[in-house]
Amino acid sequence: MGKMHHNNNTVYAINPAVDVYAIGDDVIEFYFINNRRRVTMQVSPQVVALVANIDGRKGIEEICESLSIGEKDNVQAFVDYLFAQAILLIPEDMEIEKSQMTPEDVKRYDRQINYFTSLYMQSGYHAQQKIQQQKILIFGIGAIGAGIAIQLAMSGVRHFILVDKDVVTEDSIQRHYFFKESYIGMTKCDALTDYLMQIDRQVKCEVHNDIVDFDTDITPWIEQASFVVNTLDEPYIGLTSMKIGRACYALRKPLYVAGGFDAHLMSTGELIIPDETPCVDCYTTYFKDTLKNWNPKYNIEAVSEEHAVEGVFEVGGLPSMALFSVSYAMIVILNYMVTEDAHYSQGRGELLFDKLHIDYLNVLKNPNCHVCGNQ
Amino acid sequence: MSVGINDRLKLRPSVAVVSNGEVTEFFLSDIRHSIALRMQKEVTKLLFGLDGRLTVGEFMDANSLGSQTGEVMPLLDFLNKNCVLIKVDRKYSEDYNRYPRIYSLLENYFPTQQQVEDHFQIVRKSRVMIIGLGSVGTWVAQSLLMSGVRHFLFVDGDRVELSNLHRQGGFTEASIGQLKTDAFARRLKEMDAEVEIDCIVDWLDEVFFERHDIGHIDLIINCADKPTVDETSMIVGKYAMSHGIPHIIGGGYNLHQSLIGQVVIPGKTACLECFRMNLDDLNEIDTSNIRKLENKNRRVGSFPPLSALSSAITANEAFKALAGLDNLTMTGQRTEFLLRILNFANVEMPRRHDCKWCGYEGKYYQLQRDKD
Repeated sequence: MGKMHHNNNTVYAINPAVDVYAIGDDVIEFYFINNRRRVTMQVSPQVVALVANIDGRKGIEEICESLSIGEKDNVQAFVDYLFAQAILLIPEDMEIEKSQMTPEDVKRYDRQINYFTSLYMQSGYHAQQKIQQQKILIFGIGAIGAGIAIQLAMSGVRHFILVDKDVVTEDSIQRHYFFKESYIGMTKCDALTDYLMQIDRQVKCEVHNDIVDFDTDITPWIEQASFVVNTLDEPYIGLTSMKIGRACYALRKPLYVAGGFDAHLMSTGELIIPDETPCVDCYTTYFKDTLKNWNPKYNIEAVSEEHAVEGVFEVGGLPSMALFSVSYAMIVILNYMVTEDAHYSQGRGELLFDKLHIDYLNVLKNPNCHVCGNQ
Repeated sequence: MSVGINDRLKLRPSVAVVSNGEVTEFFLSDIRHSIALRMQKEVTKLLFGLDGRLTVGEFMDANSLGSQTGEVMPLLDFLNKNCVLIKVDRKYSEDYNRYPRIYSLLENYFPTQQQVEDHFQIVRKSRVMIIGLGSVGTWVAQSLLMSGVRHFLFVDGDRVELSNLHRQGGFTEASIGQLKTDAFARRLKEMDAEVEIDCIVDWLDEVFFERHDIGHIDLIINCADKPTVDETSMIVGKYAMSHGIPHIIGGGYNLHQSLIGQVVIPGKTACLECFRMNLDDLNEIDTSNIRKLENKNRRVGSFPPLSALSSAITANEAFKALAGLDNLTMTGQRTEFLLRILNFANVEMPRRHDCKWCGYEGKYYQLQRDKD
């Protein structure tokens, strides 16, 4: 955890989301309630007493004196270790970080701030501010793109750039968590903007009711963004994905290629970080290779004329399948925004409707990749 | 029902057909199930002509294959039973225009359009009770409405607070201060003005079901954690078991955010009491020398996407239970989503012979003893 300006009498508190157990006389266990992380140590009974006295008010020196504990250096090393493990916090530092947020935001995000403090091994206030400073560019306002926007806005993101040309229709009800009957006929971008501003009046969206094709200049949008999400599957997911992926690579921007598209309704999507993870071209090469004998044909002739005209596609799925892919993406995206750890992400995986286990593909960086490879 | 020559069949457009030499693979892309058959390429090609307009007899005649109809019938029958081909025995109702994806999903499980329509209408007519409009109940309710459910009973005694907005779907800044039931009902009516919603502004306690006549209910989803999840679950469990109502005990709540909701079909799957007994067995450790030290400012947090993920699985399971699909996963199983490895961890929790609720001597349902 960040700063190390402790002195001998620094006041510490136990992380509010950690339970502490003494097992017998000489084992102490710290249990992170939220993510089940355990830190277990064999210690002397004096140390158990020391930990029991850490209360956010008394300094370490004061506690040691009251318990007649000497060995100052050992105590300091032990306390530093607990601090590095986010078991101990310095309330004074937390107050400083808290004071950098508006009281309304402190109240609004209170519960997730508490969670962040234990999950991300740093002050939750600091983590929350990192999220609030983001500007997110989202390509494709479908079930997944809009779903991610909604959950991001709920989490504190206030700046969005939205790109989609489609319009809300009657059957959008089965896909879009922002849906209202009164939105029918509006562009998805405009409808989503309206909904996000109801969640948080401070949300600002820059809207491009547009498609992305060969000559769309996406660079200015990407330059402005701190994080990019791609869910576009039109005109063709491979094409848009590669174009966006290469532009993000060139501009060194983190990208999430979301799952949840047809035939992959509960896929996880993947985080793409330049030179840290496989790039979009690595993925494309991987799929080209593994799917080279896979030439599926679909009986599109059997889509009845009236439905073909209305653009009703006969693909099946539930809104909650999209909610899975959205929520999964959110876990990875928030983690990256706060920790910048590219390696938490497991890459592309697939969850099936009738088996609760995600199978990951384990796609690796391609050393010969012409975008991110050695040459 | 076997396929007859007067049936109209359609090769479903979401089935991917991959022909490699002698083997043809039919990939049900929505649910990623695959069926591979050794068959001639010409036959595979022929299947693409099945668009639901002509009867099998007319279709074979139109392709000058009338004399071979008898030989083709077992194949058509097999592909129909496996939901590659669907019998177009009726036109879908108007609901199809709003919910084509839900219909198409059901087509992976039922071989005739009549059955698909019937099962969707079961979903339309069902009435779902959701107790607790928090970070799970809100997402589950919206998901079910979007899947076609149109009758709800909501129970919650709380008002919307600013600190709810980051984790509870459907509330807005304008909802702050309003009763959760009112604000949420209004939100769902924005999505579908015709949805029927009843609300009870109250908390769950031992006599809740004596105090309130809840009417007919097809599924109860408990997402209430006040006073504790264990207490509310037992109250719901007892009521649901004594009335034979399928129920789901939602996960995703405080301290158990990573837990996925358990589904109980009374008399068929492990009940809550079975779960409790199984858990007691698992947790049987000697705690006599463990002492919990006081953490004076103990406050756990909440991670919104984790609750939403748990809600997604609960809504999937709820839909299966309502539509009568037999692929429930959260029965007799305790599942957590582990953030550390980004995957699910499943532990089997089977039905118990010695369960006081549904075992041999169970007070609600009794297991049949083996005859021998």
